[in-house]
Amino acid sequence: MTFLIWKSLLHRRLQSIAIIVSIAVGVAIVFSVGAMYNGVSSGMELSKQRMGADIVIVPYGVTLEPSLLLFGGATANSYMPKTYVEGVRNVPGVRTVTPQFYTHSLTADCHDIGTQNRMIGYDSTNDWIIAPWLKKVHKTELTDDEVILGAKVPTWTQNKISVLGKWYNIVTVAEETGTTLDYSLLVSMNEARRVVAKDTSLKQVWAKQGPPSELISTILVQVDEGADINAVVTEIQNVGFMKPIVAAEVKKRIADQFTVFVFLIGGVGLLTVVTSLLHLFSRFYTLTWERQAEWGLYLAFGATGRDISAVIVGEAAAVALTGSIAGLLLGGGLYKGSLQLMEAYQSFPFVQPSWSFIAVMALGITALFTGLGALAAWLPAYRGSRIDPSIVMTRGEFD
Amino acid sequence: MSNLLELKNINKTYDEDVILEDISFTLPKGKAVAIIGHSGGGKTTLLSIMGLLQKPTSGQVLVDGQDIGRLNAEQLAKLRGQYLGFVFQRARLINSLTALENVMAPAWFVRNEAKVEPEAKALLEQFGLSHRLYHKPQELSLGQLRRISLARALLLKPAILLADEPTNDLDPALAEEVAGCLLQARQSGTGVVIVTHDVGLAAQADQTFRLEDGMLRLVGCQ
Repeated sequence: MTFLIWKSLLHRRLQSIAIIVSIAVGVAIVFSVGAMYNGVSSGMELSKQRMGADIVIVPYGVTLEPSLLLFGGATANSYMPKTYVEGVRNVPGVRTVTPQFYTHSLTADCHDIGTQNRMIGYDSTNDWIIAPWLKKVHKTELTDDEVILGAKVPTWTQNKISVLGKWYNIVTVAEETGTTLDYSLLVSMNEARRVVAKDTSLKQVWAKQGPPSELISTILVQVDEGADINAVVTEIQNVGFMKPIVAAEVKKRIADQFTVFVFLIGGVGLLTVVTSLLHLFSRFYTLTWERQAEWGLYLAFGATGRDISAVIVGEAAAVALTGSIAGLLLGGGLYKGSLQLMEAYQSFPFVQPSWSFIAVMALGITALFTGLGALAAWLPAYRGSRIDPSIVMTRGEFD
Repeated sequence: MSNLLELKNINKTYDEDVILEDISFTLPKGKAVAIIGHSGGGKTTLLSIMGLLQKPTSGQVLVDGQDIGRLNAEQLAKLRGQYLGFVFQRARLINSLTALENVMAPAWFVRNEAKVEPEAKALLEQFGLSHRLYHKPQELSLGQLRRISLARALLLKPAILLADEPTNDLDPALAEEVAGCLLQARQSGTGVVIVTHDVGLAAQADQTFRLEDGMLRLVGCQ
């Protein structure tokens, strides 16, 4: 019977391929969106758990999308006076603050890491942002030749890394965060400032604000429990030219955006699959009619109605299974492509889904769509099983 | 001599049209029976009833002494696979299969098809088609299709062979060849029923019946 199914599908290969392709496209979209959704959900959940900042303050006039700063941590070479830190700390309702200083590692040095990475100078004495991501914190303060690497910073040696022509000792590697913190180099505040001071291309950026030793890039703020966050924001704006961003609003907005994205793309995928299944149903419904004489012939040979049903359902399931497997392969490629796109635009925090999740999802999708394919052929199969065998004596030529 | 197939007082009506009326008939082992009659006279309906492809409105059908009246569709299918071989009016080959696969098709549902491959090849060789084993029906002539159809019907060595207009559309030489193959099946004890317009073919059968106005009359006997 398997042979008969195989031969029949080959005989109608163009129709079979058309349905396989349409199922594959739908499955690919569903699979890749599912994997992306899991990765982004995990990333956002992790960010919520570990990024304790209620307010992120950047220099006034910074035009970067707040979500990029908050989740993506986009490179922002913009600065404000470090005296703002004390001013913000004294605002009623502010529980704690920690400043950070940003620059990047772009260089042509042949020993250097080959990509542009954000360099974050942070104050380890009052930091609560970086610390939760460190696997082993064995130092409270970094010296000027020490660096902590983000999880995805490429290195060629175990203990040292060259950045902008200077060799740093690697203290540890941070856990994967799903943000550009994974591609960042964490150094002491002093060291980050020294790097900026040496970089002539950045001079025009900091010159108006004063020497780098007196500047910071951002202040991360935690507010007291029950404090009116809007009142705190207003007070912060009175401290100096700063742009406070309320993290909860950004997190909500990005979560909403992502949900819409998932519904739109995932919906398109599901619709494609449903359309393919309807197509499958329609094809087998029509085929059952067209192939009545063939079924009649099998019945004359001694086949039972159940045999005919098995042939019809088997053909549908084979098409759906092939489409699902092809879709998973296609979906793997789509997922990788989407991941690269997301990394390039750093639009959402992302944590790579585990292989077990991917495997379970792939198996689930295969089983679901193969089952639905077989189900789509159920009615045609039922009709096929009840065909009057004498039809073989009266019908025209076979297809 | 035991009867392979027996019809007793068979009637068949569609709505109010009487197609077959009080037909009784027996097919002994190793005999060939021809049924002639004009088009639309109910020959194909009668053959369908003999082939257990449809049930009569009333009357009794016995296959090897077994009354089929109370059998369900599944039991009838089993009986067809066990006792019957068909040669249809048109060759009725499956276009997705090769000549050899078409011949082996009846075995798919009743036994292990791999075991019948040598027999299928031998039959095709016997019919002069050993060089066409792997050709699809679309690549073969009408005569070749008919011979493949005949080989398919004979593959499982059926006790009863039913042929519906087997020489229709064939030139005299080919018709003679097909008729020879059909009638040769008697030698192994197969009972053959041939529905035909071909008077020459009917004359070679052991008995000839005419189906007229729904009734079957014996018109010739050898």
